[in-house]
Amino acid sequence: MGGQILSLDSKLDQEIHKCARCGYCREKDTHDICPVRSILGFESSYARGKLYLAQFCLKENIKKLTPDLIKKFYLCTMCGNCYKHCPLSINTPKIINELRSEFLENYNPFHDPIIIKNLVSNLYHNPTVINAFIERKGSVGPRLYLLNKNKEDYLFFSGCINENNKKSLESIFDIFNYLDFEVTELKEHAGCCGMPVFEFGHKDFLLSKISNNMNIFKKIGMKKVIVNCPGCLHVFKEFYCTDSNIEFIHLTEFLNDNLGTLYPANGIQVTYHDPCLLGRYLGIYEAPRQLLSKMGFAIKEMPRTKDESFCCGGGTLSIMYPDISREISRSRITEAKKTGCSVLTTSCSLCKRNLAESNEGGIEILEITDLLASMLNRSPDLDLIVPLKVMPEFSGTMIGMED
Amino acid sequence: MLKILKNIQTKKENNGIYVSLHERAENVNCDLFERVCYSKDAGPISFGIPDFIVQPRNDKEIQDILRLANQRRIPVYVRGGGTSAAGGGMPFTDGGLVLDMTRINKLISIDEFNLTVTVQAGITWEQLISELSMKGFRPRFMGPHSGCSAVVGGSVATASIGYGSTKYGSIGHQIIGLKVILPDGSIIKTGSGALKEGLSFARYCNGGDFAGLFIGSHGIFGVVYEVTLSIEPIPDNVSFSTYVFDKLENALKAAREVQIKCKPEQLVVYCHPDTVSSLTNFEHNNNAGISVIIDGFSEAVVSSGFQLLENVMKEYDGKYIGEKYAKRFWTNRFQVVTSLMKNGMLLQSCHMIPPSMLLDAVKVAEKYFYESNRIKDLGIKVFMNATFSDGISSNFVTNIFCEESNMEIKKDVLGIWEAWMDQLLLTYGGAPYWLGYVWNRHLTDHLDNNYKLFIRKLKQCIDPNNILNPDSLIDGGSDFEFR
Repeated sequence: MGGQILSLDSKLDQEIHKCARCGYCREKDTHDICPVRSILGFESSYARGKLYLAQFCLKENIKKLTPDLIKKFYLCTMCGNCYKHCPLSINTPKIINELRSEFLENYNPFHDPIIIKNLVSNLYHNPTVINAFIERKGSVGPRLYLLNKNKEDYLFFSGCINENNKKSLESIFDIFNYLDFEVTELKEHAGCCGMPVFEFGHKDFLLSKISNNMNIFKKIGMKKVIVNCPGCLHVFKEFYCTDSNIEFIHLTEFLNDNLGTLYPANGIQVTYHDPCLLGRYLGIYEAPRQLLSKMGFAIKEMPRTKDESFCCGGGTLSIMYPDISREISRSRITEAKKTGCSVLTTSCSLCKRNLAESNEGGIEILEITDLLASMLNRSPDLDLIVPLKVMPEFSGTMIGMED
Repeated sequence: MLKILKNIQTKKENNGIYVSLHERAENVNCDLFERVCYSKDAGPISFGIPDFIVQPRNDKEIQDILRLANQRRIPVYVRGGGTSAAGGGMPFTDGGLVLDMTRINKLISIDEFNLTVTVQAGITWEQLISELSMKGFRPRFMGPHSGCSAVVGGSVATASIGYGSTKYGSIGHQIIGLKVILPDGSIIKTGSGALKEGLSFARYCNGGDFAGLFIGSHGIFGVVYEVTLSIEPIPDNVSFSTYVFDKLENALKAAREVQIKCKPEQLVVYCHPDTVSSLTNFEHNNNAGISVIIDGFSEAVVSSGFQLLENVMKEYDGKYIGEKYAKRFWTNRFQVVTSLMKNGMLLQSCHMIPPSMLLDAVKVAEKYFYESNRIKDLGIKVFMNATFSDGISSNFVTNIFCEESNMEIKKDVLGIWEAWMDQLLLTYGGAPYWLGYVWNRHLTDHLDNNYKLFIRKLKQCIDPNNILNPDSLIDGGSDFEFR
């Protein structure tokens, strides 16, 4: 066979061929491991099939790689559950991401090129991904806020989702204020972290964002950056930290460290959805749970939890294949409802949005910060008071804040 | 891979069949690259690319598909977890329809008093064990090494041997009844299940052991849809022990005696220093080793079993090296072989031989792999072990691992593997319980003609159009006269 062949990093090439086809990425006990397989069912929808097709991609002339083949690699939420269950630790999401990158570089890959073209174009010309995600005009990019208490300084990177959701941002600021942090918006504007487009395989976009944002972070000179979006946090930790000593902290970790015990919510049960990027990718499982406990909630876990957590169906899949994404979300919501809890909490704005879009009622979907802010403010705007109705009136004296 | 491109176009006449299939089943797929994914199992060989994949949701859909397949003479290949390493049930040539059974995966009922469980064929062993354990039970036969993805129906089709086999034999020994969809679409239940009441509690009744017809026959006589298996309460007490030996001969004698006297749940013999070394994290490199699991419902029973075991092992100079290796083997049972796959592509030869012939078999293997420098020259690894099964036979396994991405080495190793199959059959009459592409070609010449004729007559009677798993028929499928 002549012609140009895709080339991957040799380690990844080896990893693709390491697959023993044991099928342990297919199901675990009574559940599907792969969210896409749970909807589509067939071999190519999960890691074993994808790795076999990846071997094919690496052997054939690029011209033979048809859109039908390439789209198989976009039918993936990148949730990482297959990687977690692989006895040989094959990082399939990473391989898929690299292949996407190669497709983008070498071939017009998309079965629906308009989507990706618009997406990338939007991102280049607008500092936020929110346009692409929700097609809302006039949306703004992530902003930077200085948090100051006594001599303690932090930088808060708002992320595009929070920045474009006034209520959610206000909730977070209310919590900062409650913790006596003075919040000042900085004049420097950060850009998109680069994550969403990077997931599509656009490495250059990520690299340009790293360069821009790192310059801003360095200029501001802050050593600790608080981030709410697990996607932003993941790329910050994975790709931004290589040559800096900036510490990136998830908001729930920060709040858990700074918040004392609040009035116990009478052990009201809520269930918690681990965002894939916060959990499996970054290993942050306990901070959100401890935070909920401090707020007085008892967590009733879903059968698939922590590193076994099932994806909400979000990420690039929700843009490329919204119908499949919604089916996955519905199945996660059904699992949450089976716990008997009336509130499904999470610590990712995208998971929340994705789940909320598929919610057909019977359960409230909220970020932990929404819950916390409503406890502090008894905010009438939030329709989440279901579990809190049974609580006595909030009283400042009952909050067990240290000092 | 090259042949994928030659077969890239779905044939035009298939469009009509696709529509007909879709009228009969909801989940039908004819996408080229989906079909490509179904041309491979867990072994090293790429097989034919089917024209269609159907993932049935119920027995009605399977009935309708089989009836259509008969009308249109479409070969139907029944697929379980896709974990066979020898091409069992795979299409040898392009075309046909794969029936992917992984969505027929429910546990139907547990009879706690009569100690049976009835499951759909596509349930994985891990799922079955997990669901049973919630009620305090386990299947007596607990699946093959690939139990996280291997399904019960696949084990029925291959007469699987695995965990629990030392005490309870292969899966075949633990099957009480089957519900099978025959090639013409009719449904039968075997044993007591054939009564109108349909309860599966006895296998050998109502005229013969017809469950046995389907066990190990690789789906050539029918689609196994439901399986009733025997179960038992999970014992409270377990002892795990591993012993090493300087002489393989002693290990094999000790193993046989332990099997008879101690009735262990599982007994595995590691037959070569490389295998002992690998399975003990390179802490021991003796010539042989044995892991034994003894369990029971009281501490007294288990400790007396362990004492008996100690006595036997001492007699044969076995040295106790602790419980951790046997414990890992038992508790992480479905991870043992898959974790070895870090050594590369796996080529397995599982087959039955009498325990009396094990020593000779290992010697033949040593000569074949080691004395000829095959391992050294190609950089491959070979692990040899034997599971004592059902008191009469043993399952001797050679696992060959090699680097898959090096095509030249792969080709050589495949040749070695193929030739090894012949050695096994020729040298001491080993009997494969797996069939399919890899074994069939070697087996045909060794089988008695009358037996082959008998199988053909049965097949012709039950499946006159030869639509079901035709390539798994012993004596080859491609030249089969009534196909």
